[in-house]
Amino acid sequence: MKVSSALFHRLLLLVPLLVSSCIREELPLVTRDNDDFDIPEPSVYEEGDYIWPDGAYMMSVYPWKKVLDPAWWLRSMWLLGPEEAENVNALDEVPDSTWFTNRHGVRRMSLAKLLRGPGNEPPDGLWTVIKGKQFGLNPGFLAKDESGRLLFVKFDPPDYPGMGTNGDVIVSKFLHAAGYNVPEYYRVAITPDSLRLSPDAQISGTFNVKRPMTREDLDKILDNAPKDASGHILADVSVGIEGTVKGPFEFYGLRHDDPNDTVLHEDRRELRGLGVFMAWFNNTDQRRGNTLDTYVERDGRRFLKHYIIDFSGSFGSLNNQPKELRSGHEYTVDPEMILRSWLSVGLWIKPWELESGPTLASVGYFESEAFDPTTWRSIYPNAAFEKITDRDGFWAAKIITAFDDEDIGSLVATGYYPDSRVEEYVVSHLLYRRDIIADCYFDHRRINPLDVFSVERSPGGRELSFVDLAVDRGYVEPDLSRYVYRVNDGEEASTSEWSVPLPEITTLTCVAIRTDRRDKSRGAEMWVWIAPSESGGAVVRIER
Amino acid sequence: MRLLASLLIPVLLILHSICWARDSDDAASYQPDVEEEDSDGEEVRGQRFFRSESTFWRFLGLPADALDLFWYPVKRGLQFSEENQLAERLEESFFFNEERTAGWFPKPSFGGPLGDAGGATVFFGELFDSHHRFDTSFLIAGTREFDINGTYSIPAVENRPFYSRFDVGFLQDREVEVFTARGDSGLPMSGMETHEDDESEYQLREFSTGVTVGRNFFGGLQLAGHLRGELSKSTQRLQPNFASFEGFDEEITLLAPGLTLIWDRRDDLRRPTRGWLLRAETEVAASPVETPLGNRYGYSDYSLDAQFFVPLPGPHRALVFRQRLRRVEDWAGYDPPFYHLPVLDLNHGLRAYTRNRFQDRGSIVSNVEYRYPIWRTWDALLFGDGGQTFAQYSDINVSDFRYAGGVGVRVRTEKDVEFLLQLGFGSEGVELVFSFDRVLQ
Repeated sequence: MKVSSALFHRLLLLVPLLVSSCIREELPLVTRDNDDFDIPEPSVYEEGDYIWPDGAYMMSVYPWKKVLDPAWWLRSMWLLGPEEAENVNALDEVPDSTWFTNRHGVRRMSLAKLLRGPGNEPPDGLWTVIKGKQFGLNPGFLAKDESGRLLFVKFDPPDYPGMGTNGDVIVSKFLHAAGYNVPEYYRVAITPDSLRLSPDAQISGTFNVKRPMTREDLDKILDNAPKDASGHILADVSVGIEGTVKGPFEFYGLRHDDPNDTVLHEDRRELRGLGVFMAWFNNTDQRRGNTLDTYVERDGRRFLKHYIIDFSGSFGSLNNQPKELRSGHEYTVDPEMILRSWLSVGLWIKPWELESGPTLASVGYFESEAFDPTTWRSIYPNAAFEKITDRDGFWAAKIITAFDDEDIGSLVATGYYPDSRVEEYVVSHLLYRRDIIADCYFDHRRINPLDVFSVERSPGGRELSFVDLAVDRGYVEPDLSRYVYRVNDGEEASTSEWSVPLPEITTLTCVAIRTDRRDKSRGAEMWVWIAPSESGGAVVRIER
Repeated sequence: MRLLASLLIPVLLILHSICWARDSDDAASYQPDVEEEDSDGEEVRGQRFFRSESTFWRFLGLPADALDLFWYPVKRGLQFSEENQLAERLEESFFFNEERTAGWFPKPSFGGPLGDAGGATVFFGELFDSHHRFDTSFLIAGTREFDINGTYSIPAVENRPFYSRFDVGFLQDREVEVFTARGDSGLPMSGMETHEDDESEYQLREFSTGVTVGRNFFGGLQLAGHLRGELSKSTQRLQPNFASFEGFDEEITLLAPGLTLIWDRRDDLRRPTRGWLLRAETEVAASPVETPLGNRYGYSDYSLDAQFFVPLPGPHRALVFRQRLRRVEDWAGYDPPFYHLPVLDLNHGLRAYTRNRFQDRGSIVSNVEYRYPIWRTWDALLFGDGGQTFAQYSDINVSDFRYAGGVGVRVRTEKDVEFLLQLGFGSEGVELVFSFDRVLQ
């Protein structure tokens, strides 16, 4: 076939059109995402409740999809830049949305609010059991309290009282403070007398076959539950969340019956950053099945709200047993690790192979010696966690380091540990892991850790002030840093202060800043754009 | 070049449009019918602020999405399985009772003692409210080729150091390999002098039963005595060139008492990395009655097996050294049946040589194996073997040794199910061994 020259040139004209679609639009400076338009009621995503297809897909198909993606290869070879999150504003922040609400990371919450978490109304009185679950990782039941609230009740393994419950109670408060939507969790001591069986109650019995639930079924569930010294049954209770349940959300793609869902989930920063939080808490069970969408109504509009649920796989818990040495370091089936181990002929001693901590009943196996937030792994691959970039990690680290020692100690104290030494053990590991995360994502060579930019008045006119988070939060000595800057195309200058003098801002001005530490190599550069404003200038864009 | 570009650009554009549709999907077609202003009239609600954009690189990754088409039926199958708990039902089907003390396991085997075969092991544990157990297994390799075994065992327990077991078995193998050639003296010879082309086959039928009584002593020492009875017959299948072997084409009865001394100082029975296992066995077998042809057979059989486990840096890494010597002698002027002579092959220390490859009055073999973990309870193996069979001790000569090397994977679960995959390379080719079985302690 001969292609005429005219046709060829016409086709070539299409190239700029194609390329233009690759150029991202300017990101708006919004602090509140408008993803709460009124939408028709979505159907329940029942498929999302299955764990086997999800795990098998992520462990067998998803790795091959990456192999077939040329961009993945090019990124692996550093020939293509990272694919950044798509729901960040011009200041590289995540606006409030139906997924995330900026809280402790932006404005310090009071200790009372931190401890309150997503709510503080523990259920009491007589509960009516409406559905039972006899088998599975955590046997339990669904009940309603006297005020009609739905209660999801589950129990720790009898030999490990508090192991999963502490994860639920503590981590839910951390994540709420961070900004995620989470349910309320409580540990409640109950007696069989405080439970009433609904006449319509059903139970998923042997082989998942539903049948009417009997008192014997309930007693059997209660018999295997851990009890306190006075014989009370220790239950892990989560309170039903607002709205109509619409099933879990995926960590990749879009929910097709939600018109508000326009950003691929794997490209949402709060979901990518969630991986750093889960690494911090060592919650290896963060998967599709532990998320939930609910259809809620607000100001006359009905839309989906997105929750993260179930943190009983946190710290040293693997739900029904303590974590294994490899938990958090390898997927359940991890062909890459198997191949690497095989090819290394045993010369590669994986750091986590060497046990470095005790297994405690209320904690499980929780160690930090081998912890690395960049290589931490859940039970199976998570598309959002895998696509994390340095900017996403920096965003998460900012929030994580906003929890100071006192915050962490107070939040862990809301758990139920047999003595203060165990509580201190958990606190010390969370502090240690937090600091490892900070050392990683506040490393100036990886990403410039300057933040909180603003244009301020100064004796000489105006200045761009900022905070060096690595210094401010105690990870780098203050007198080790110099900030090398350049305003527009001007001369390069440097300062050790957290401010840069500015000329009069009459037009869009770009300030390039690099952070150098005396004991390390030069750092990564970042750019801050300042636009004229009535107050003398305003930061309108940040690029790292 | 132009042709290529002309074809590529429309294709890319089509893919681009498909990609856009994938990214935005229903959301793209959704036009909010509300345009409103907030209280201070600044924010206009309309289009979504954030929307995943179609990029050149994103649609180049579209071929990867084709994998989802293949995945779809698998996904549906897994959903059905999870909904109906097929995995749990399958697992449940391996057990006969709720306590899971009785059940069965499949028993596939490639390259095993019966060649390529399949079967099952059935077990009944905790019998009579004690630790008594009964295990039986069968292996079928083909038409009228099978091996059936049964064991009733009473293990040693705390405060009762004695143990005992009763065994019964029946083997019928229609294709037992034997490598033999006619020597200079005109008599058939076997062992190291034979060539891999000297293969013949015979049929073997063997019924055996026995009782073992043992005692555990301090420090991992065990002493056991056994009495074994056997009725066997080998017959010709293909070529008659080994017809003058002792015991061929005769129905032989043997009664064999024996002693076994074991010194087990391994740190872990399932995945040892340190210690040793020494095993010395001796048995005297003799025909209590004459064969129909008026012959009697008898032999003394003794063997030594020493395994040493040397730990290496890192968990579950070990070097294993193994030395085995077995010797069969005439007893009271009687000869041993040829099929009871020591063997070296893929199941007996030379893992790259076919079944029954070398057979003679004695065998000596050394193995070295490096084991290292690759996943959970899975260990990879690198091994090297060297050994020979011999007629007299004076025949042992390193220059006559045959060697094998290879790789493998070994898994021993907490339920004592062992999975073994080995690939051995040697001067006569490659041999594969695969087995999956419940292992008795």
